[in-house]
This record gives sequence, structure tokens and C-alpha cells, in this order.
Amino acid sequence: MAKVFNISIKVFLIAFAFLYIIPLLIIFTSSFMSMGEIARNYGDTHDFFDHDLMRQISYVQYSLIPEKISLSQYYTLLFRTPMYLDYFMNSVRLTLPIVAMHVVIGSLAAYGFTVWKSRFKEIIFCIYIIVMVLPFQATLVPNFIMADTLGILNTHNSIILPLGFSPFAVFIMRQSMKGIPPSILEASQIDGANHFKRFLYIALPMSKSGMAALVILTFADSWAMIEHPMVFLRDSALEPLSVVLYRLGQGDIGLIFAASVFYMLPMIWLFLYGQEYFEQGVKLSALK
Amino acid sequence: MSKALKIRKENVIAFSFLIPSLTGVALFYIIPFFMSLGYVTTNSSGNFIDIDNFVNLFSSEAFRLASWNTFRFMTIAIPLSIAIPLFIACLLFNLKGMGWLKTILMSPLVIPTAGIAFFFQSLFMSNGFVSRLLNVNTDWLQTDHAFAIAVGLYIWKNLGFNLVLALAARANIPHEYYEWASVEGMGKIRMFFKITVIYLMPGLFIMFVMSFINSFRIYRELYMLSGNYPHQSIYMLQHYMNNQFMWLNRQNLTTSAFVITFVIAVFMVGFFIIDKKSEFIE
Repeated sequence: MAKVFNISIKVFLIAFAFLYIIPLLIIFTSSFMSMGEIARNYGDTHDFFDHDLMRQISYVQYSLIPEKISLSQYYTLLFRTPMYLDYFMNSVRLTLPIVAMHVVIGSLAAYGFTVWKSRFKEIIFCIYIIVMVLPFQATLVPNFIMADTLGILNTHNSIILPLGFSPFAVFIMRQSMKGIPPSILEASQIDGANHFKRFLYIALPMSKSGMAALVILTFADSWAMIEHPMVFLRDSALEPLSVVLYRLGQGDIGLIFAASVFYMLPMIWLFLYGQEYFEQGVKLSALK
Repeated sequence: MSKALKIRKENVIAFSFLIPSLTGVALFYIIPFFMSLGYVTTNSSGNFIDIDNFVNLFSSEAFRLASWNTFRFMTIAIPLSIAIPLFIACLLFNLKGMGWLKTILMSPLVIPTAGIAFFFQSLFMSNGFVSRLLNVNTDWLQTDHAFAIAVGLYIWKNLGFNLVLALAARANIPHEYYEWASVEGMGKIRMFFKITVIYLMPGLFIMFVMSFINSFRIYRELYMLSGNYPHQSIYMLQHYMNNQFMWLNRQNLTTSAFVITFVIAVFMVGFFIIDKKSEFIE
């Protein structure tokens, strides 16, 4: 009886997983279709996201298998429209500094929150949590005022600095440092290790998996940024791929699949490479 | 050096680890937040006008609609996006060899927002997949179903991540508890409510915080799906504030940002106090 139950759950979950992966499969296989085939499947519309235009009645057709495997999307993307490489590099230039700032500043501050003894500590941390959960639109004016004051509007720094100092990193790293038994830190204190040594040789190695979770989460989030570049960057040559893909959807959808695959590669690599650490890290943070 | 002095010095060094982060948060969030408050009590020509901006804001129908929609979205979508992964986690927990499922369920985190919007558009537009199945010609995102689509999109996108959290929380419950309960003759359903639900609570905190943050981020997809003026059931505070920004209406934007910050602060402080108290009881 229990076995039948288990098997039926498995069948249900496998069917569910299949439905889940369809969007990813469609993007991947469609990237090998010719632009003509895509136009036939999704309607010959150059304004997929344009809501005001009348649409023709031919229904959308999903197809997972290309009629003929074609590399024309990739060819156009890489050789005919080289600016996509620049957009990709813009994404890299925005994302890597943010992730680096999160790891360094976040783990330093998380250690501070773990060992600092003060009655103000929890009050400060509470303010951090409030700043962390605020929607972008609420921090937009403060961020904008400061970027204006520092004269960094319309540069990558106007996005990197506010996001890099986001308290989210401190929150995740603190959750994972909570898993370090205080006795270990105390024991090394008796052995004469100072705070810096304890941070470097105990706290950091023991929160490695939390750090992996942080890297994956902030990478995924920064790589997908939409609102920040649209507000802070006037110059479209500075835009990251995430924003450009949106514009592509408004124009030439024939390229959107190959460009999406191009966009997803670093994230897929990171997820597959870091998944074990990621899950461990998330587990630790759920321990609280 | 006396011992007390040494401990104090240690504590100062401990504090110094916070300095980079504190400086950044103060510089980019706290200080400019107080600078922005200047807009809250003045009109566009800079004259002091008391609380008129609040009166204007609360009498604005668009703001009230947006607040109500955001509130409704959060109270429906967040509990669902916690309950569903918890349910799946409980199903999944005793099964072997299902680790790949988590990886697949996290796939929406990898897909570009534009790709997600594209996919949902192709499902729900007037000549989309759903219309084809039902043989109609309805633009579902312009009907009352838009809200359900938005909730579904949010749950779909965050299911994988919440499932990893839920599985971790479930794994933290010692299986001895279940053994003791079954020795005492407790049934499966009672076990679920008396053990599983209660001991999952600590893990719920981070699930809740993450779901809360992500519920604001769903704006990215909604914006791409239906622009600045979506169907009125999914016109969120983020739409309202973004439009105020586009119109350069700093008074309305800052005042609504202030209101949101205030509401969230009150809510989070309350949540924090409850959390600390429950820790104390443990």
C-alpha cells in the first residue's frame, strides 16, 4: 500500500517536473530554429510586447523540435550584431563587482554582528532587515539623490554601489555564521587568536556554503536586473543584456531565443557547479 | 592592561568589522532617505505645506487601488508560496533519488525575465495557447484572471528556491520525534499537525523573508507582460511609484515611498519582536 502511494507520488512529481522544464526546453530548442520558423510559430509579429496593436488570429504554436536545425540565430547574434557581446560584457561588469562587494562586505559585517556585544546590535540589524525588504521603487529616490550628489548618474557605479552595499548579503552571511558553535570561537580566543585571525581561519571557512548560496543568489538577481539600469542609465550602450533582451522582445523576436541561451549560460554553469554548496548553505540559513 | 579594558578593546575591534557595511548602508540608503524627506512636506516649488502631500496621496484613487492590490497580492501569494513547497517537501522527504527534481524546479531562476514574460505572453495573449485550447480569442491579462495569473507566475518562479528551504527545514526535525509519537499511537495526520507543522516554524522565518522580498520583485515580470498600465487587478504600488517617477512627480513618489517604508518598518519590528520572544521561550 505504502509502495503504491510512493510510486504514484513519484509519477505525479515527474509529470509536474516535465511541465516545469517546458519553458526552458522551448527556449533552448527554439534557439536552433530558423527565424522563419519562429515567425510561423509565434505569429509574424515584430511587436510581441506591444499591447496596443491588433493581433492576427493565427494561434501560437509551441514546437519543441526544429524542422531543420539552424544556427542562423547564433550566427546573426555573434557576427552580424556584435553589440550583443558588449551588452553581455556590460552584464559582467555590473554583476561581478556587486557579487564581490557582497561577499567581502557581507562576511565582514556578518562576523561583526556575530561577535560584537552591544544592545544596539539587534536594533541596527532590524534596520538592515527593513532596508533589505523594501521594494526598489521605495529606495529609488534615496539611491537617486545619492547618485546625483556623487555625480555618478549614467555610469555603472550608480548601480553597483547601492546594490553592492545591500544588507541582503549581511543577512544571508549572518544566518550562516549562526551555525558556528560559539564554543569554537571562544576556544580559539583562549588560544590567543585575535578577531582577524578568527574571522579568516574559523568564521570564513565554516560559512563557505552560506557564501556559495549568497554568490548564486546575488549573481542570479544582479544578472536579471531590469529596474536599476532603466532608471540610472540614460546611455543605451551601457545597458546589460537583461534589459536588452526586453527590448529585443519588443522588436525582433527571431533573435530572442539564441540571445536568451547566451544570457543563461553563466547562470546555468553557476547553478550546476555550485548546487551542492548552495543547498548546504541554504540548509544552514534555514537552521537560523 | 586590566581584563575589563581588554574585553572592551576586543569589542571595539569586533565593531570595526561592521564599519564598511554601516558606511555603505548609511551613505546609500539611510542618509539619502532623510534627505528625501524634504519632498514629503513641501510642494514642487519648495514651500512648506504640512501634511498636504499625504492628504493628496491617500485621496488618490490610483494609490489606493495600488495599495489594495499589493496587499491582496501579498496576503494571497506569500502564504501559498510557502505552503505549496512545504507540502511538496513533505511528499518528497521520504522518497529516494528525487534530488534532480529540485534542480528542475529552480530552472525559472535561470530564465531571463524577458523569456518568462515571453512565455507567459504566448500562453495568455488573445491568440495564445490558452485561447487556442478554449477556442476563444481572449487577452487573459486584460481580464479579471490577470490577478490569478500574477499569483501563479510568482509561485511558479519561486517554488524551487522555497522547496530547497522547506526541505532543509523538514530535515531539521529529528525523526525520533515521529518514532516517539507512533509509539504513543499518534496517527499520521495528527503527527503532521503536532510535530511537522510546529517544528517547521524556525525554517519558516527565512522562507517568509525571501518570499516577502520576491513578492515585490514580481513587478519585473508584470511590467514586461503588460507595461505601465496593466489590468486594474494587477496595478501594484510598484507600477504607481514607477509612473510617478516617469512623470517626475517627486512629491508623490517620496511620500508613497515614505508610507511604504513606514508600514514595512512597523510590520518588521513587530515580526522581529515576536521572533525574539519565541527564541527566548525556547
